[in-house]
Amino acid sequence: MGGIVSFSATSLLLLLLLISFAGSAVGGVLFSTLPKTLIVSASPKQGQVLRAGEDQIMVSWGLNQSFPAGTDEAYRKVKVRLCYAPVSQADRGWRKTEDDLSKDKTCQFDVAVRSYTTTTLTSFECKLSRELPTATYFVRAYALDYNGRVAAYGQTTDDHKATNLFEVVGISGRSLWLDIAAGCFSGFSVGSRVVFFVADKRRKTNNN
Amino acid sequence: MEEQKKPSSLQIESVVASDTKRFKVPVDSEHKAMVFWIFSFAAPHMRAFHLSWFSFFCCFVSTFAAPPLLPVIRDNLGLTRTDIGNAGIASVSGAVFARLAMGTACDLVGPRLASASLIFLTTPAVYCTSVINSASAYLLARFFTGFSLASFVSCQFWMSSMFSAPKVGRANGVAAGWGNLGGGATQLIMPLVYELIHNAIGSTKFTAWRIAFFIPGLMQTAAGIAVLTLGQDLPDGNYQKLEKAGDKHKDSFSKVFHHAVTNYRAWILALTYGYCFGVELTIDNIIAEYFYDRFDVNLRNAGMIAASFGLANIFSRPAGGLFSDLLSRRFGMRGRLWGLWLVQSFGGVLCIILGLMDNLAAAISVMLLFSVFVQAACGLSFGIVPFVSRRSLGLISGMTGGGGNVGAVLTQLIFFKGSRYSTQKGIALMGVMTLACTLPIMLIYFPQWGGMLVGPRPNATEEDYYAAEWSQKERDSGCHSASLKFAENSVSERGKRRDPSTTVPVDTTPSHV
Repeated sequence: MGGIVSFSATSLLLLLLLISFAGSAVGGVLFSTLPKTLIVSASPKQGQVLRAGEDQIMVSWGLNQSFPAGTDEAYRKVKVRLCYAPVSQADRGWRKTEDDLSKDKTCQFDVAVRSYTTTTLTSFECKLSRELPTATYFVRAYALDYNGRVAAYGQTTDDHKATNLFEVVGISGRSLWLDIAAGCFSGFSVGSRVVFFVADKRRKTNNN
Repeated sequence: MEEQKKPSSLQIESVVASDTKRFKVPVDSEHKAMVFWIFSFAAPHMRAFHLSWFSFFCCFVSTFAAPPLLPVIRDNLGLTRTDIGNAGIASVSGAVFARLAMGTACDLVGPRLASASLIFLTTPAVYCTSVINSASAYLLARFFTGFSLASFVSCQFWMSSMFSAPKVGRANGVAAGWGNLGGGATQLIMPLVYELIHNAIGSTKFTAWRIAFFIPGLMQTAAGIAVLTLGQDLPDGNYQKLEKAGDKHKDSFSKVFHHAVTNYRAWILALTYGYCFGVELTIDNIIAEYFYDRFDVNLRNAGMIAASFGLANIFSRPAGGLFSDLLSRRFGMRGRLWGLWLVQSFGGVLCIILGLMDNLAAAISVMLLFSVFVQAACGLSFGIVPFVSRRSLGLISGMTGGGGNVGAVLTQLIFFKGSRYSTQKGIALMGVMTLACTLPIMLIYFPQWGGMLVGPRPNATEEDYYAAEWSQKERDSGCHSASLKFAENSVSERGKRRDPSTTVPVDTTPSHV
């Protein structure tokens, strides 16, 4: 008993030390400070329903020409992501929008990561990942500089995230084999209890 | 003329042999084990211990299999925080009534049949978790799977039937502690199984978690078969066999029920258990998210912290049971009561402190210390429960166990649902409520042993207390023989007090000079 106690105490202490050295949060760029210099458009129309793992979307982005030339000098990469619309964030703290981008959970799925080119518009077609959950989305593009820090952004919807939203229906993950297996094992479970019950009763009547 | 059913030769043999049967461990007059050899599998006592804790462990793994996989499940089913909270409450509320029913079932058909039936009937809920597709289906799956937590009652009942008074505290403590371990182990097992299926076999996330649920399902099926084929209700045999041979009186539900609900000690223990075990269940459901949100640890680390709370059960609950037995050896039942009150109250204080901690390392240290005390209090509670009643032991174990789940439901409803209290304030308030609800232990009084504040009555005996549960007519027909044997063996609860009746009377001359 003493051996178990000391082993458990030591392992708990090690766990504690490990966790206290775990990575600490580093403050990131604030979204509210970013200029909206990119124009982003995507093929889905307002309210369109797409299927994950099957349908494709076409996304295009480019610098908003109304900004002075040279605004995009620092941009090196463009990261395009699928982001949750407010209706899919309600009552779901794990999708919350935070101003600090290192803590922000709004945009969780990468559509494309490309180097930034100064041509007017870049397009990219992408198949919706099978891992997308059922939700309402919009598309946002972040422009990254030399250091990988976010310098600017653009999105398909407005500032209130109310227009141009589309839905994706995710896969269920179920399959026929899974259903059959679940049914068989459940049946076996109840069935074996019945079998034991009958066997017990028979043993009792035999013993009389 | 009524023909007496002639018992078969097999049964006669067991009736006679039970008096001279060789057990592999030393036993008392009820054939209960007087030692607790943890690494032995000797039938029937130690084998019952291992079957008992392992089947309970599997039920805990199944009941809390969903929380560590929630990040995937919530996206697959589109769950909201409200859905998740409700399902968490549902997972522990099913067992409230299931534990009461289980207690009665143990009293009537024995722990082996009762626990095996429960395991086989709840396993389909685990397998069917693989095919759910909506928030309400998720809630139902967790609700029905949660019924399996009632196997706690059969586990404790079985240990109380197999182990004698000086060892019952630690037997109950280790069995329940290692069972509760399942709540911590599942936080490590399920993510591991999920990763294996997702990466090695290459299934998508939403399929991998579904396949992962077959593991707890298979574990439970194996446990059920083992209990049925290898287990035995009492040291002398199974209920049915003993009842046929007239060795065991077949009791009636209404009598068992009456003697359980009219015993005020059962109600007090049900309340106080809600504030050690209930607190433990609540923490199992909320602590990962608490560390994730308040201290910004990532989900995997939050899961590890959550696991460490449950894993402390490997030694802390058994330590509670052992401590109860040690206190009893010196101070008797009064020691057990004081021990429970002190340990559980200190757990309440640590809970308050946990809610007030602002620093990650400090919060984890307080949480680990808190886990030890709250789980030890659970062990100490079941050092007392076996003595409250002999006739209705099962139902009283069920009431206490059910009370634990009621505590979890109430606590989550009052402090952890909606946004009335922040989680840290909820944890601190839960500690305050623990302190308040632990005070009633002072009201528990056994005439033959005393209570926390009052000593025993001079002429009260254990026999009077346990025989009082049987009517005169029942006593005349000898139905209460098991209770009498138990009374005899429970005299150890008087502690090391010098009992005046055992000294030699001064006025008789010794027979040899």
